[in-house]
Amino acid sequence: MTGPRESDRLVHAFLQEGPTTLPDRAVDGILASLHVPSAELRFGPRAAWRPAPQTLLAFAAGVAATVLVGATFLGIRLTPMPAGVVGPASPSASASAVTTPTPTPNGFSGTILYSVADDSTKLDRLYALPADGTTEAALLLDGACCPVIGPGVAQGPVGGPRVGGILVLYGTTLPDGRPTVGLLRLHGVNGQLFEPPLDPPGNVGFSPGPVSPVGWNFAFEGQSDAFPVLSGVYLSIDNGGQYVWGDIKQLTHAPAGTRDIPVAFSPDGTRILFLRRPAQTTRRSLSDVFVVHTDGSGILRLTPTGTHVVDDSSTTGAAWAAAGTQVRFVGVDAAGLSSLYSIDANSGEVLGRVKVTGTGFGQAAFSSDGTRVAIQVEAADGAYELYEIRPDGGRAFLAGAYGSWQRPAWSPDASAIVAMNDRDEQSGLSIVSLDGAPPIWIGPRTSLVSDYVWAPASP
Amino acid sequence: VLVALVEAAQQGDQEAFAALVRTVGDKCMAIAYRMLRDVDRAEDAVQTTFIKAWRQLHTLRDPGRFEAWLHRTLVHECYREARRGRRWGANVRVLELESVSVTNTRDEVLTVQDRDQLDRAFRRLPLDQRAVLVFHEYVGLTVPEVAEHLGIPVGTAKSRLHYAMAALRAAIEADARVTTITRERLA
Repeated sequence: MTGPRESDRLVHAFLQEGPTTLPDRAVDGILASLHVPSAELRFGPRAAWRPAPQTLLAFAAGVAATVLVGATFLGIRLTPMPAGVVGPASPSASASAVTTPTPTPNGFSGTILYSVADDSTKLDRLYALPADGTTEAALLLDGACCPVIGPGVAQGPVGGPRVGGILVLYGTTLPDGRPTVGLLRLHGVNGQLFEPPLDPPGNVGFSPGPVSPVGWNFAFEGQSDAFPVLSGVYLSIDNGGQYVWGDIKQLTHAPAGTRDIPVAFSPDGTRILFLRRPAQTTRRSLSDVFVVHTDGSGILRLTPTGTHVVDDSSTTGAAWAAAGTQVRFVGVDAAGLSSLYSIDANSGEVLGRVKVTGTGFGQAAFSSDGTRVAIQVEAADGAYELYEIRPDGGRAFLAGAYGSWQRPAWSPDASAIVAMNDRDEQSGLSIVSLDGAPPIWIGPRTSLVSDYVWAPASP
Repeated sequence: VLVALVEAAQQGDQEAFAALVRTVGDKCMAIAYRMLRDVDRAEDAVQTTFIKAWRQLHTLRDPGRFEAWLHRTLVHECYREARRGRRWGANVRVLELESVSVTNTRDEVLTVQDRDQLDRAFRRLPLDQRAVLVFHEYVGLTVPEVAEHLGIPVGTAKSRLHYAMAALRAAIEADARVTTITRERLA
């Protein structure tokens, strides 16, 4: 077996490998940016947000919450949060990393779920943060990420009981390292393991995807490097058994070098919108929008020839509209010009195209009803600003001062968005209201928030 | 020479800044790649770093500390790049049900299997530990120098280096065990 000295030697040798030269194109890009007038700078003074100093009580509560380890299943540590007990705002064990949001209600409701990579355990951790800003985030699950809001609360699976609370799908890994999906129930910021993750069938790893509005059917992204033909969109069809895992069917085969990411079910649950994305994504990644029937037939590309969507991580970059007869997305053509497209979901015909003012558009995020779209726009200095695209193609400024703003996610009622703001070396989630009010920082103070969704208030 | 270029660039001399980019850009690219293990993301991080550096160069009080100052920005941009687009990749691991390709063809130091194990192990390290490891093992800085370049206390740098190496050793060992078990199952 490999000994420490041998390991150190291997590590040193390993680090010597790889590129050691900055390509000329990158140098040219840097030098071209030097001519941008300083008036366009986006790195202004820090916002006048007021993260109060952490109190000893809050820290003690955070530690206590972390120690209150709940049910253990397959390596997942569930940590239910008793009422009135708040958890750490940051996964860091450092007291200085925990901050307290403004302790007055900000008028927003619901819960923002986010995951953070934990430094000490190397695992993602899933947190619940009240959108009203009155309490800190509560730790829901260790080893969990990628939350997706689950089925309607009044629904039950075939032959199963109705359930209360908000159901949330999450991604995790089994002890042997295989990715899979689990289900938890959310009451405010308290979580309860609802269905433990199961072994994905075959040689495929699954990541959470959208939930059908009709029945308990789920779409997943399946990936398999060992057998690439098994990568694609999968559907779990309710068969009266487990809540999440039913009859598994592969709907698409992602071509080599690409991934198929399911985005949304049509309102009648018969079709799934998905993005075909390069396997290696960057901020310049261009994806295509497709639709497939839930029986695997009728795969149709909806992005016109030469047009793509800019998308490096969003799963809300396209949306159903007009009662499921149309699909909307923001496409960029070969000339770099962006337009808001409305496409016939049955034929792929372009029904509407409204040119969007400006350039430098990044990924877009549609509200859950498909009526509103927020988009990140890259400024000359590389920072991102947030805009809402109006139906006429104009754009309304949402946020842009104080660092870079990225990855907007809509509130359930589409009245606000939550976005990651990177202020100098401080980051966090902020709520941006569409009424023009200043953004409200709600936490956590960490630069490693990776995934977030805004869940409605628990019934 | 570097100090003179920095001072000139602080006065708005774009040619001087261009010379700076050409002087230290390669090292930045090498560092960024080794932290991110992705050429495109590394390029993005380096580009953004230099653009920010140009914007904020006037805030640098001691031109002699330019490189450390630049590296702090670079590491921060690497963190930001790593966050970008990791939604579906974070917990999706390659399922290797087939045995790892084993070869006896050794190059001077690393076998294919070594490289594969190290790559997977390194990707599992937290970014702050990767940063310390890269600056210490690749750039060749002492621990106090690493601390200065990253803007962290020396004790923190030591701790991160310790945990990074320990984790990497453990991960290599674990990978080796998994590979052995997989082979046994397939046998």
